[in-house]
Amino acid sequence: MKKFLSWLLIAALALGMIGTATADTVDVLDFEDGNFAFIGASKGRPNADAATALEIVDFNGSKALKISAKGVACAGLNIIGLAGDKLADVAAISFDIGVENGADGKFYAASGYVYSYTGEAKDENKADWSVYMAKKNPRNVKIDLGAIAEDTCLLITEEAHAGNDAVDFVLDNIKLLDKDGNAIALDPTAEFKEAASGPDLSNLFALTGAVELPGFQKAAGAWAQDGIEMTQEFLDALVPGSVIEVDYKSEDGAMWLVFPWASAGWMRVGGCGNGVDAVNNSHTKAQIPYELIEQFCGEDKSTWGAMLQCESSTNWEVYAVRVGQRAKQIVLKNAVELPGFQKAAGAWAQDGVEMTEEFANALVPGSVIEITYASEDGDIWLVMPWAAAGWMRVSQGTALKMGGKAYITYEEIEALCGEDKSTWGAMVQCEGSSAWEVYSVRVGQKAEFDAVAGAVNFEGFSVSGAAWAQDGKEMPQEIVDALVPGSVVTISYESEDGNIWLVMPWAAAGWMRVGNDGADVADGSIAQVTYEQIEALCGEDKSTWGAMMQCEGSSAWTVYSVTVGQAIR
Amino acid sequence: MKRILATLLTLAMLLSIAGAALAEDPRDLVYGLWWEIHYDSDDESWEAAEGATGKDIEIQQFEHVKEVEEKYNVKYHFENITYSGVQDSINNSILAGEPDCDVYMVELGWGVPAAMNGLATDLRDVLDPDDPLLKHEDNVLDFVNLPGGEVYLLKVVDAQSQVEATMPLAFNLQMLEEANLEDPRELAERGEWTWDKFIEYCQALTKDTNGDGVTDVYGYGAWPGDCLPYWYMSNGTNLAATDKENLSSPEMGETLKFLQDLWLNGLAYPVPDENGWDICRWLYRDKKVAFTTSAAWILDTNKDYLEEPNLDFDMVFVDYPVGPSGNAETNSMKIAAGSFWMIPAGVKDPKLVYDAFRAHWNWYNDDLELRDDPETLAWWYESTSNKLDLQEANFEEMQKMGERTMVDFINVVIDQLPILDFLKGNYTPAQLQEEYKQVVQDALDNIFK
Repeated sequence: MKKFLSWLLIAALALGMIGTATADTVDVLDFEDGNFAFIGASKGRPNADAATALEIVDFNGSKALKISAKGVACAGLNIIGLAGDKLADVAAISFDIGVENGADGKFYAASGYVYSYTGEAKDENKADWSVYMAKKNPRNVKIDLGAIAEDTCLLITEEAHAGNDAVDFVLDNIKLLDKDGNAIALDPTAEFKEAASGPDLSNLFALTGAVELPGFQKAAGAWAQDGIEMTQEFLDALVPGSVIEVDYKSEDGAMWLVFPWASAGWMRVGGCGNGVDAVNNSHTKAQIPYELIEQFCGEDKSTWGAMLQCESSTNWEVYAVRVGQRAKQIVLKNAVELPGFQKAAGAWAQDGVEMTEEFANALVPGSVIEITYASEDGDIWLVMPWAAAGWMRVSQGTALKMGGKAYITYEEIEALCGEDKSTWGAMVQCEGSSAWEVYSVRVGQKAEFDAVAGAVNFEGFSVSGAAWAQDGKEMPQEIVDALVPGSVVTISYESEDGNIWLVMPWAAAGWMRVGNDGADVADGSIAQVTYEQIEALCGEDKSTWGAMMQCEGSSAWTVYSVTVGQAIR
Repeated sequence: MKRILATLLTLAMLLSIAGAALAEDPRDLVYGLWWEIHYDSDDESWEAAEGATGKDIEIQQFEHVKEVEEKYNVKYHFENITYSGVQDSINNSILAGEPDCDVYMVELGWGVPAAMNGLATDLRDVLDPDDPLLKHEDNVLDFVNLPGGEVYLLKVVDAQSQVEATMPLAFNLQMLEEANLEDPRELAERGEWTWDKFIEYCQALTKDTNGDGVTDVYGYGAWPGDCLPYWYMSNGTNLAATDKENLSSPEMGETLKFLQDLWLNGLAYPVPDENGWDICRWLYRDKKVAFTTSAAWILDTNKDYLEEPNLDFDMVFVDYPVGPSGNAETNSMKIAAGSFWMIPAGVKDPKLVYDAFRAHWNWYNDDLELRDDPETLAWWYESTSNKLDLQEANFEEMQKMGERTMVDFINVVIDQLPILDFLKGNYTPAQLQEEYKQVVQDALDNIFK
């Protein structure tokens, strides 16, 4: 009897555990409990609107998740966390999708995509969804999926719509299905976290020798200021040629500095009529150059006061403030990779590979070697061990470093190894004063992005074309007004071969390409064409350039946005 | 008497009410596409069209909607259901037997497979056999020729839709006159404009003008990606017009050899390795070629003739010469491009749908002069010449090409063919055909599967 009761107890406990496991999973995500931690706004697409918002709403008689944005709404779904150990069984996703009526109460058709990433190479797969009829709103969509790759999520976007304004869409009843169409048990406690990616440095300078202002984690309401006193180290780094950088968020994207103790008077800088700061496209970083502060607070830095504050026209939060020497972001043109240069070594150890003929041919006057790396102390340099001039370190401690890359020019090598490149030896190595790892080495012609202040968005300039096809829009007045000497047209894009340029088809000087002769600065996702480049081809009189601005590329291309702003030089 | 009158009056009233009850509500027709088209039953004024300025033609088009509504007892709506929405709707609602739309706009690349897979109404089953549409004689709509003769895909007919997307053969008139060569248009009239004659002309026009041993003027120059389809059409053939590849055909072999010989024999301008298309299209401007494959937009790019002419010579459009397997009367002269319309299978009363759809596009009530108002077409005339007679002639040539449109999926596959390498002699025609016929077939399988 006792043995029987023991077995009964064990069986009951086991059943209880199974019961507990089942109770934690669900077959469908219906948002009735208000939980949507497993899905969030994502910047995983180049054209994603960073201000994509998610909220639970009532739709068609039940709770649903509304996803909205002024531009391309993009939400990321943590499919790996949801499926858990059943991920390999996932063969499809199904969900109900609907669109909300526009501001005028009318139905507007909308469509978008579900992006999934599969296989070891994380190949991108794109399946479309559409809600195109009021009588079929919402509707159920089922999309087949392949073997989901590690560290990826599904991206759900809205990218096309009838009417002029973006359409809010809603999701409900999300299921993951196995190959037989059965719903897979989902872990609703999974959370969506955007995979870390490089900071958005669009429109900004790269900073070198940056010094943080410790403790500047502040938040305040609209038109309220808060800040801390600058440390001596920070003040010592705040010199001509430097820039103060603020990591922040604010409801309207605006951010500027306030010097409340300046002898010149309580002073805003970088906004509200006192200059314009450079802000990245995602409105998360702002930069204010030393010279702009000097312009409003006076040439004598000692009269600016120790207090540094931030302010915005809407509720704001600042996460970090730093100051550093500004440098233009570098992009290599016609870059040639040195294959096999994935090396790592300890402090003061060298490793490298022999130059290929292609690499050596590209290493010419005016070129620059780019090293993508990481090291404990941030330093890295080249070693030319077979140079006829002797075993040679190049740019030890002095290489220009920004964003995880170091740049060493042909001329820097020439200065140490001699004018005759054939005597430098074929071996190229890296070395550092701390443990280091190099991910790639490339050589190419150096081009530099301008940091841009006061960027004006060219509304609606989201177009695409096949190779050598043009598309664009007529410039509205604010874009025409922003096109002045010193201004820069910045294009956010993708293209198969990385090329993109402008076309001014109505120019009195004739249909004109600008920037396709290698003069543009482009890195495959951002391109800049200057006012002066347009002027050189279309003439000094801007009124003869024609109202139409187009883009074109030598391969299939997509432009997500265009802005015009003043280069900070 | 009063009672009789009252009874009659009551009867009349009852009959009137019954009549009203029996009169049908207008049929709502939905035309699904992925942009905005005006005008339709939802537009309240001519101002509904963006950019409309109240021109007579706009007002007429707006008012015509009411005429169509009344004649056919319909309301019709051009609905932007997005590009994905159109394909989604075609692939799902038609198969389900209840098409969402009564007419769909389609692109050939996916419209042809949809139609061939039974999702479109064959208008041969709907229209009278003598209907002008079925003989390509309708002034309002035309259809795309498909291998089996099906009438699935419609194109709106007007002069602009005919002339657009044509790339005629063009020649420098003065260069030919100086060389004492007869105008090739005259030869074409007499049926004497052939590939052999074209080669003779190229031989006469290819010159080293300064005696330095380097050719300065070539008989022909063009971007191969532009001209290839026109040359094989001139030989009466196609590359990818059906579900079977035609690269391996003898006629394509003839065309490939003809073109390769032109280049290898030094009669055609050598295509540069970089920016070839950018250089080849404008060779004529520097008089580096006598003949070229051109287009109205190419001549307009530098405003060669619009307003103040920039060139001191005339460019004249002419038929492509006829190849040994071609036929001047039946050769196609243009590859179908752009968007088309189809009436889905299973739509209710397809005859009414067709009639109302056609009636919308016949806003000019068969007045072709109104449809093809030169003011509307001014650019097409004026961009190719500053001389009235040549404007007319060039326009007519483009229009003739447009009247001989064929479907060919070359654009889906041309980037995969090593045409530039071939023209340099790195492949024989037979080698190119053999090595790449499967590439073409695979592309067609993707379309026709």
